[in-house]
Parts: sequence; structure tokens; C-alpha cells
Amino acid sequence: MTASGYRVRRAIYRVESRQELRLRLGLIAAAALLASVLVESGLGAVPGLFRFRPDLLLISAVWWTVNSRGSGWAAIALAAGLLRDVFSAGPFGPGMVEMVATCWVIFMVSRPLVRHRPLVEIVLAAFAAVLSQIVYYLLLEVFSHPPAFAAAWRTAIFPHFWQTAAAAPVWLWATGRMYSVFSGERRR
Amino acid sequence: MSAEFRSNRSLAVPAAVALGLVVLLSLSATVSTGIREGLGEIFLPVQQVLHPVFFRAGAVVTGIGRVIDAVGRNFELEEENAFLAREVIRLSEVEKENLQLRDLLDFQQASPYRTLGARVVGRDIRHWYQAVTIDKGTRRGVRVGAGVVTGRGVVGRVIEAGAGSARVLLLIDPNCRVGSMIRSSRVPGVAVGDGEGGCSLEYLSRQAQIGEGERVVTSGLSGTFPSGIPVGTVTAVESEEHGLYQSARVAPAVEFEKLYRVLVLLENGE
Repeated sequence: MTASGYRVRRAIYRVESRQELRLRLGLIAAAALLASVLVESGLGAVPGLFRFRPDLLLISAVWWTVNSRGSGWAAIALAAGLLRDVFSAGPFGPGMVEMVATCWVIFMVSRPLVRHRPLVEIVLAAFAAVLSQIVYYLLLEVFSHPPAFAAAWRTAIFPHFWQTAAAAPVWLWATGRMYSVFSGERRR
Repeated sequence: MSAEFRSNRSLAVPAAVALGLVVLLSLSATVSTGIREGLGEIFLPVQQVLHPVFFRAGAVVTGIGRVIDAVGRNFELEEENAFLAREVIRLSEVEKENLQLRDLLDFQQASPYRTLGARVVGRDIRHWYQAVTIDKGTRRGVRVGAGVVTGRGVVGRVIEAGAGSARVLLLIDPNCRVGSMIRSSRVPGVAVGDGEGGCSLEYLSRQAQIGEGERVVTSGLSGTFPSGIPVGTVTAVESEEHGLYQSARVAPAVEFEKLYRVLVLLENGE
């Protein structure tokens, strides 16, 4: 009770521990990746969009990679790769290697660049789209029997590139929004 | 982004990821398939809910496009038009569904195979593979290698079967091969997907006279499908000067972009 007669209520702040913070960010990342892969898989049901397959999972993984300076990107890339292998035919395993390798390159490349600029993220997502498919093609050489490179470029690599690049602005924004909403903090 | 998340420069996570990759890549095919199918089962209920939502959302977008065409007419007519457009969409969806089910029923009555109706709940997320996921699995008798059809023709074959879901490799995938023949002349060949929404009929005898517009049906030789199921229609014949065989480009009978309900052939052998 103060001299003026008002009761002072003290604010109670709860300090989030490092582990709690990591867990929360991990859960947000997992939700973002899961949403990406489910939308990606379900999008084929929309008439006319059966062959439009932007790699939303990769875009999401790129966002998390570009926006983390620690080593959290590696775990997120592994989780994204695991989801990719689960939701796709073909050998089990190359999707994880492809995703981790691609995110590692993106992590290394993005460091000297000006981060957190939408245009930089879009360019990185487009670059990742080509890189990931070339890595996957090389992995298929080891694990399976890939088609001739010209055919792979025409049927898989190029469509993957342009469709992912086209969807990148929207999905990067959506991932950023999802982060802001669920973490309660601004992206930067 | 939180400073805590950014500043963690420890090598523990990359090391754990690398170790995880090594372990996962060294798993036997049985174990890795089990992991894939197990995780697939977890996400199946969500896919079952999402897929029809996307399907209907597409129909709504189409409906909006139709309604926009009516702009410029007077308000009363526009309102009436919007209402009618919605009704037309609803009724055309019902009609499509009706036709689809009737096709399936006709096929079911004519087929010597035991068949199981299934719904498509997802498609493959890679451009490399043309595959879809269906909502029936080994619990309902679906086995790897089983043929999948609609009333219109061949869809593909099952390549992975979990307890409650299965993955179907579509006819348009380059890895899918179906024993087929030209219906009129009974010239045998193998239908192979081109990965771009079509397929081709390979290993056709050079002596065979094949023309555009000829119907291609299953030959029944592969054991996956009974003979006579439509595969598609010949759109072009390609013959190399010194080759042993000729081939034909085939437009598939099934519209893969509108795949929703399918039938799984549960027993092989007529």
C-alpha cells in the first residue's frame, strides 16, 4: 500500500530458459515444415495444379536456415529431408542428404550476403531449388538409376526450379508470418 | 529471431545430424520402409481431411471465375447468375461424382478381379516421380504390385503398402511399365510413362501397321491387370530407320489431374 492509498501490484516476469526457447523454436519449425509438406502434397487435388509442385518444404527450410546463425539449421534440414523421403516415392535416405547438403550451402553462402532481405531470400530459395535437384540427381547415381541428365532437366530439375522460384515470395512470407505469430516476436 | 537461437555455434547439432544421416542411410530396406510407412500412417488422417478441402477449394475458384464473367449485367441478373453458377458447380460436381461411381460400378461388375474402392489423399511431392497416395492399405488387402484402375482405364500399380495407406506409381511415370497391345490388331507392346503427363507404347513390331487414334488396352500378360482395360489412344507413331522396333506416343485414357476415386485390383490372375 502506498502513501496515496493505492495498492501496487508487481509485474511477474517469467524468464524462459534456453532449453525452453529451443524447444519452442523447434516446435514452430516442425509445424512450419509439416504445414509445407501437407500443403504441397494436397495441392495436387486442385484441378489444374496436379503438375504444379513448388518445393514448399525447401522454401521453408531455406527460410529457417537463412534466419538462424547457430547450428539449428542442421536439425531443421534433417527433419525436412525426412519428411521429403516420407512423402515421396524413390529410395529412402537421399532426400535427407540432399536437404542437409543444400541447407549447408545456403547457410555458408548466405553469411556474407545481406541477410533478411526478401529479395536475397527469394534468390537463395531459387538457387537452392536447382542445387537440391542436382544433388539429388548425383545421389540417384549412387542409390538408384537416374534418367539421362537431359531428360531429368526437362522433366524434373527445370520445372522444380521455376515452380519453386515462383512460389518462393509467397511461402517465404507465409513462413515468416507463421514464425512471428507463434513466437510472438518480430522476425528482426 | 531470438539471439539464443542464433548464437548457438556448437558443433553438437551438426555432428548429431551427420550421425543420424549415417544411421538412417545404413538401415536395411525393410526398416527404412517401415519408418516411411509408419510416419505416413501418422500423417494420413490430416491428408484425408486436407485433400477434399483442396479439391473443393479448386472448384470454388473455378466457380468464382464463372461468376466474374457475369459482371456487366444488371444487379438482379448478376445475383441470380451467381446463385445459378453455384448451383451448377454443385450439381456438376454431383454429376461428375455420379458418373465416376457409375464407371467404377460398371467396371466392378465386369471385372473378374476382386476390387476395392479407394480415395486419393495426396500426390508425390517430387517432380521425379509420378505417384499418389491412396487411403487403403494392407489392412484391406492391398498388396505391393496390385493394379489400380478407374472406370476409364489404367491408373498404375501399388509400389508401397502400409497398414492404412498405399503409394501408387502412375502410368505416366517412366518407371511404370504395363503390358499392353493395340486393341484392333492385338500387336503387343509395353506402355511406359514419359514423366510429362503422357506415355508411349514401346517394343512394337516394325511390321505392324499402326495408325493415329488406335486404342491401346492392357494385354493381360503382365499379370497385374486383366486384358482389355483401356490404356490410352495412339497420338503419333515413331519409327527409327535402323531400330528393331517402333514405338507410339499414347494419350492416357485416365485424366490424372482429376484423379480422386480409384479401384485396386486385389487378386491377380483371371
